[in-house]
Amino acid sequence: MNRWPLKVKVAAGFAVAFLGLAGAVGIAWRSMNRLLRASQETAREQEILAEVRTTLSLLQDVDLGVRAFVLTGEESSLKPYRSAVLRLDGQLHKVSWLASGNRRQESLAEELRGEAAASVAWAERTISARRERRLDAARAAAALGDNVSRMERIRRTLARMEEESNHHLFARPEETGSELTHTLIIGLVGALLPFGMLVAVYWAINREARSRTRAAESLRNQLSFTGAITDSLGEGVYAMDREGRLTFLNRAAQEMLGWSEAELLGRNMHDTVHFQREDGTRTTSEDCPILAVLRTGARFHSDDDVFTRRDGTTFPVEFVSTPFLVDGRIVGAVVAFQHIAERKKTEAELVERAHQALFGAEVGAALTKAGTLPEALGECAVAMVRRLDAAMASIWILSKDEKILELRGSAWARRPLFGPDARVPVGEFRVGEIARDRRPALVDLTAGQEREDDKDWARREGMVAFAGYPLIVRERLVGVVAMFARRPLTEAALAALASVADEIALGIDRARAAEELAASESRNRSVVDNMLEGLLSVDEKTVVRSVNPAAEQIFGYRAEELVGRPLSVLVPESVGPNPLAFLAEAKRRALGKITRWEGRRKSGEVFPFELALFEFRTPEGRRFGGSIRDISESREVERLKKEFVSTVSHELRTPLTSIRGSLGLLAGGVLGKLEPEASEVVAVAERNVVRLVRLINDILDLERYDSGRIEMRFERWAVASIFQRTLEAVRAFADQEGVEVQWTGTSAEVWADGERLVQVLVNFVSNAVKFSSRGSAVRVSASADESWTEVRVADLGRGIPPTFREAIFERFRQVEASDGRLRGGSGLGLAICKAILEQHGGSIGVDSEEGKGSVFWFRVRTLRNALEPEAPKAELAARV
Amino acid sequence: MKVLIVDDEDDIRRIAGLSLSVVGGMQVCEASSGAAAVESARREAPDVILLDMMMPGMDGAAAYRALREQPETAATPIVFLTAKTVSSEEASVRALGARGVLVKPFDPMTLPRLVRELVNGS
Repeated sequence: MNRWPLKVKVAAGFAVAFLGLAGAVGIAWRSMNRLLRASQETAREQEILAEVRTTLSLLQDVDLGVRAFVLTGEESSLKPYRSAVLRLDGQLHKVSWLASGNRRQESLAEELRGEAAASVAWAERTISARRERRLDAARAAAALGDNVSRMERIRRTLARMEEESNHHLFARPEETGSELTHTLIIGLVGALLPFGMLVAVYWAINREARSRTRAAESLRNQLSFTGAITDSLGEGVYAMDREGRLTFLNRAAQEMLGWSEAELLGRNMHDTVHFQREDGTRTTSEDCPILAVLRTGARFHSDDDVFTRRDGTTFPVEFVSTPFLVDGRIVGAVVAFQHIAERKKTEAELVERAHQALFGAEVGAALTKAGTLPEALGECAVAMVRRLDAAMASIWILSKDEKILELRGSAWARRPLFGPDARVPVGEFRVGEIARDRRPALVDLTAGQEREDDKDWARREGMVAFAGYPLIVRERLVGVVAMFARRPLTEAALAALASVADEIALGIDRARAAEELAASESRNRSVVDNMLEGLLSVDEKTVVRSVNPAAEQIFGYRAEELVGRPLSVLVPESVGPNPLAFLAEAKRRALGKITRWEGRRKSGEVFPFELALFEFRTPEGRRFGGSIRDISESREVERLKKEFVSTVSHELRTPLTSIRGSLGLLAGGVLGKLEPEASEVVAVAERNVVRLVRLINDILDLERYDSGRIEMRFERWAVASIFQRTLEAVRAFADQEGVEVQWTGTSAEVWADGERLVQVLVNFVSNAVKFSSRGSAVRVSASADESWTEVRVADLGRGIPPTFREAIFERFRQVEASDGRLRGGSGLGLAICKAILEQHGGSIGVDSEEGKGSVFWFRVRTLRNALEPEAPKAELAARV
Repeated sequence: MKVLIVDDEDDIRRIAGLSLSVVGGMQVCEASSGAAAVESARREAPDVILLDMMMPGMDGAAAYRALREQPETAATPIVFLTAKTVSSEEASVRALGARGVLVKPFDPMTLPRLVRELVNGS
């Protein structure tokens, strides 16, 4: 139905109607002709009938006239005869004429004509005879008889003619009737068909009109909707009907064109907004590509045209003219357009951005993919030349002493003007200035700003602009990126450099870090390879993953023999076959500590080693590293040392015992009274022997603390009982020195090796007494809180200078070198005290004011209840 | 009071002997080794034995055990003399059940008093 355009439909409708009408008229014409002819013939037949009767009547008048004259002889009786004869000839002609075309009638008329002539001839003869009286009545009567038969023939002829006419006459109405029916039918059909067709055409046109109205309505709706959307997009939209007249104009278009929709509705849009080119020359509707859309139905796009505003000014547009089709037929067109001036700007920005993105991507790719830093920087420079249209691009790295910029990557649009190893001092030349100022620079070399140092080559090479950017990582300058160009550079060039500066700076930093890492790895590797301690790592399944040469040597295996094998090969068989349990035990015992273990060498020899276990993570998972020290030898050394200490101690003490004893006996006067001088000398000797013994004892003690071989006996001790023991130990000495010792106790209890604390306190009190003047007092006090118990020994002695307050706890450190000699100390007492407090996990110190006295104190953990506290126990465990 | 001094060092035996006899007024007999001490103690029946820890051959600990096993000396108080070389020594000595420990070098003027105190259990 819709395949035919309305025009064709209407034309076809009219054509069919016309043809139908023409056919009907033709057929009717033919029928009318035939009817006319038939009616003419009927009239002639009826005329023939009438003329035949008239002729008969005339011939009878002739016959009767003759007879009457014959009978009467009176001339008046010939009157009808004469009238009939006069008419008869014309009458016969008339009959002959009427009979022409019908051969039978023609021959009958001819026959009639002959008989009539004969009859007239007879009549003349008879009349003349009568007048001449040659005839009597009888004869005349006889003569009359002649004409009777003639008349009879005439009557018969006329009857035949009548018969013939009647035959024609009766046959024709039948024929004419059917003809008439046909004509009526054809006429009816001929009238109805065009009417039907006209109705169809009217229907088609009406339907078309309604569809157009609907389409136009729908178009307007759609355009309003589209318009609402495009308004917000700033895109102008208008619609035209088939004739190019406006049917819709959205708000954006109204704003752009300066017309309201109401003002333009129905106006030809070409003539209103599209009639001139940018240069003002006119364009015709015929050439208008927008209107062409209405003819061709092909969508048209242009980004090189102008529209005219209401005020006559033009603006560049990009538009799309799209035909609007209803039922496959173009009913109008929609034109969407944009002000391209802004669009062009946006596009330029997009292009710029795309360029920058590409530039950034190339730089990023160069930095991540290139093998070495110079390669990467070289590629970055190439990207600058290519993407930023630089004539020359360079990337400089700041040397380690931060004084020199070294060229590490450069690219030239043409031939290089300087080598790839250029160096520039910071502060000199343009790049040096950027490094010094840490500020980007953009220089127009044509504006007379060119420097002496780059004027010549820059001018010679046609450079017109320079841009440079500092490369900074974490506020630290690492280099400068710079470019020269043969075209003017804008801030955009700086922005482009800025966009990659961080990345390049990071790349340089990363490369340096990688270099340092590699160096550090190399160092670490050589440390690991050359360290005396064995290093071994295992994974969570206790499979050996790495060993260092020392570990190879300790265990007697080569690395390749060990790596990949289970740890159990290095463990004595007595430990058991389950290496996982071994590792778990090792983790529990040895993680973060140094512990002793037994290992098995390739030879099967079991040996002791110290293990420091540590945990680390690798991409392959958790690892445990063991630092291994073969102590089979050091154990031996230790044993020897112990023996040596024991021997020295014994060997020194044995003679000292004899000397001490001898001198003691002498000094005691039990072997006889000595002379005063001798007694004095013996006393000196005895005192020094005692001092020597104490020194040896202290050295031995300290050695034991140092080696951790001292055995601490932690028990529950009341502070009061420590005071009591100390008091017993120092009473005699204090009395001797004339110093009063005042005790202020506490009910606190501590978890400690009481004997050792007594040793410390005795040391403190003895020192205090030693440095107190006769008659003064030493105050010993204790205080405790939940965590710590502090014991303080205060004297009023000379005090300790601040510089010595730490030092006096070191070995052989006394405030005055003479103290040892004068006061009989070894110089090791406080060092031993410190070692003892360390064993307790406590602390030791002195508060002093020079000239006013000192307060020595130590702090140990308070025992809060009868249970053993955890911390000292852990300490103890860690040291055994 | 009769004291048996056991030490491999002649000088020490002599000094200790002088101290105990001259200062303490005690009766002194001597032995220069563990084995001699066992024999001597049985023969002399001392009131107290001063026993050196470190001696060649039978050392102090061994001598102590031998003396304890010998019926005549099983109940004799024994005081060790030690050079205090190793702190564990003193503990092991106490563990043996000795009456006491005296440290070398000793003060000859106080030695007799200390011995007497240890023997008398004060």
